[in-house]
Amino acid sequence: MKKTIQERYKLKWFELFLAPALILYTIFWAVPILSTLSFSFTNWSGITPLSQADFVGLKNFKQMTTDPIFIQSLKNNFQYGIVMVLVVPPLSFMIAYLLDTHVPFKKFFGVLAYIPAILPSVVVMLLWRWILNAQYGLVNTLLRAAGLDKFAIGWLSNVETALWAVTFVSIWKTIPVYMILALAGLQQIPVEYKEAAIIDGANEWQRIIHVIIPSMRGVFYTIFTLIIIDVFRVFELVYIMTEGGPGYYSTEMLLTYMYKTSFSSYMAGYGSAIAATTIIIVLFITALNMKLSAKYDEE
Amino acid sequence: MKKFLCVLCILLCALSGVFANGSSETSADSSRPVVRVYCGWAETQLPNWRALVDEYNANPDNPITIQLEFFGSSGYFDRLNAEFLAGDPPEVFQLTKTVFNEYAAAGRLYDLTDYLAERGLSETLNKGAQAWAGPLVNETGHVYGFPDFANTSCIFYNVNMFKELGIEEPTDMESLREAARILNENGKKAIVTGASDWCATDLFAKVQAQMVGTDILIDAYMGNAQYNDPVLVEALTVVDNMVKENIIDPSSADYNDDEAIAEFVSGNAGMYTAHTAMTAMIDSLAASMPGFEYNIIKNIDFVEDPLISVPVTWGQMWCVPADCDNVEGALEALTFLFGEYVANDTVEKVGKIYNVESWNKNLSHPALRTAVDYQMPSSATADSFYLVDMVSSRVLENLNRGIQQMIQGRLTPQQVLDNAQQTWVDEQAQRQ
Repeated sequence: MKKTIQERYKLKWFELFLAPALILYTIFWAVPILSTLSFSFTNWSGITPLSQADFVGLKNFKQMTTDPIFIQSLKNNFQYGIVMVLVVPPLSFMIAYLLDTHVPFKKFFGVLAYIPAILPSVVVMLLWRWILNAQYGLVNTLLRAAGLDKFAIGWLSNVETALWAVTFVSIWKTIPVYMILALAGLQQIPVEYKEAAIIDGANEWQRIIHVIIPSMRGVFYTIFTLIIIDVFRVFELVYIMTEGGPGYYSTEMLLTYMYKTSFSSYMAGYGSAIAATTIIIVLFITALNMKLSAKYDEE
Repeated sequence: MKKFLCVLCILLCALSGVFANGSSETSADSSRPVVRVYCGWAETQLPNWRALVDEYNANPDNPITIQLEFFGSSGYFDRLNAEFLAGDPPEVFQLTKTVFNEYAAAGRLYDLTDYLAERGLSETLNKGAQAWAGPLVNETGHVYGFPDFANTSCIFYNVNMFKELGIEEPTDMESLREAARILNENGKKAIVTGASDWCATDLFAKVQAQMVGTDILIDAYMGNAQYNDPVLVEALTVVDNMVKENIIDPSSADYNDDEAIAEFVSGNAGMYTAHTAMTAMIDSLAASMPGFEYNIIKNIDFVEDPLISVPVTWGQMWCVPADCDNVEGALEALTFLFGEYVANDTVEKVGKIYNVESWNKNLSHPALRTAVDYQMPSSATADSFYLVDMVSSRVLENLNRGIQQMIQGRLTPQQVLDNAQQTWVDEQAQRQ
């Protein structure tokens, strides 16, 4: 079917308005990603001209399989990610639900709960580093005051607690963002659904399980997807709080290791391979999440 | 639509006018070449330089305009790398020793050997510093950077606490052990340090330099020796024993530099080990502690017949790119920034230690004066290179983490150095 002149005219305007975003996307996203992929097949140092680098095929990727720091970073990233995925969505939903239904002065407490998200990351990390400090940190001061001296440990300098401490801070910083998403989802549920459930005699717990959560499936899907992407993007949190330590890389993550490899050790080719692997992992998990979600929708 | 196009035209005209004005101003100022100088530090670390450079630029007789930019480390190397890759690096820039090694090995730095000779600095610049200013394997002995300020690896001590407790300044392990015993008996920690960072490896560097010097570090870097060589294990064992004997307080494993200094300045610890660059941080904390007085131990032998007195970091390197378009301008900027005029001002106002002895005559800081008078002369050889600056950043990180765990009692010296060696082997495999 032929397009009318008016439709063609609209289409051109549409393309014109899309162009700036598309150009920016190409320059700042597509080109760097494709460049990273191409660098990952070289032994480029990052400080010599690219023309001096050799093509090494899949060597960098093969090397990663025996690199203990990469394997440790991957493990840490997955441990951190699993905890985040298991803790953040339910907690975000719970806080949003409480704010929506049980808390007076909703707006005030909503703003209060959102504060961690609007604080600059660096400020938050430095604040928490002080709170968790072994000698004069707030946590240990309170523990000592309560007579619990044996629990007053170096939270960020102990290999057994550092990753948990970092994860805790990340949860604290991240929850408000997802809480707002959950709150928006809650407020979109038609009141009739809840009223019908009340008339049918459902108690609050039954309403949450059978009405509210199923109605927010789309929101939860978005939250899960965003968290999965977020957990593999974690960088400044670790870099500022622990620099990947203490001990042997107990909080090292894929991106911190990639950064150190590329910009401190001057192995940009190998660093690019780590970055490319991270992208592939995120794409794979996101695709899996989409597929599972679609399958659930069909059922 | 017409209105929109009109507005767009007006905006474009206005913008072109702004840029035209901007460029005319630049051309008015550019009667002499501009030399860009990049400093990786924050301006607070060299607070007097801006005014001195402004003064230089204001003099119409000077041949160049120095455009000094401070970075404060964040993003510095990313910017420098990006400009190198774009073919437009600054004419003069500062590099840490480890990064300098990479740049020098890649042939990206201008050879400053003749320049130093012309200025007569080949004779006066500390010999240790000159050896430092070449690539790790420097068969020609050429110099590719101007090493700025020296820092000796040292142990600071609380002068009044030592006096009150009748502790003599230690000179060897036996007297250090005795000092630690008296401090511990009086409820004080003996030596603290910030072992969650590079100070862990600094402890090792102190003993390693005295025991074996630099060659083994270069050999290990080149693959001709190993970081888990028995002599290095022996050196680290000396540190481990110091922890076990409570000479080094085990809580140091939890401290970063700020925390360790706080312990030292607040009188909880009698000594603090690091290098002399930490005096600035000690001074800033000590300002709120009236009566606190400190110095550094002149000389302490951790081993019998030490090769040198202390390891020295001879500073960061100020370099010129190998393919610099304006070498003359770059050298003029170096001559000014590392000339006697700026040196005198910097020594007096900032308390930096220069690698040319005569430039330090006005240094009055007690601890730094001790470093200049007692430590640097006895370490002016190529055996004084500072381990922290002589290993790859990944090996350094591995050593820091390993020694931190050793202090926590989780690893032996052998395990720490085995891991460091394995890390280096892995890194080399990844580089090829």
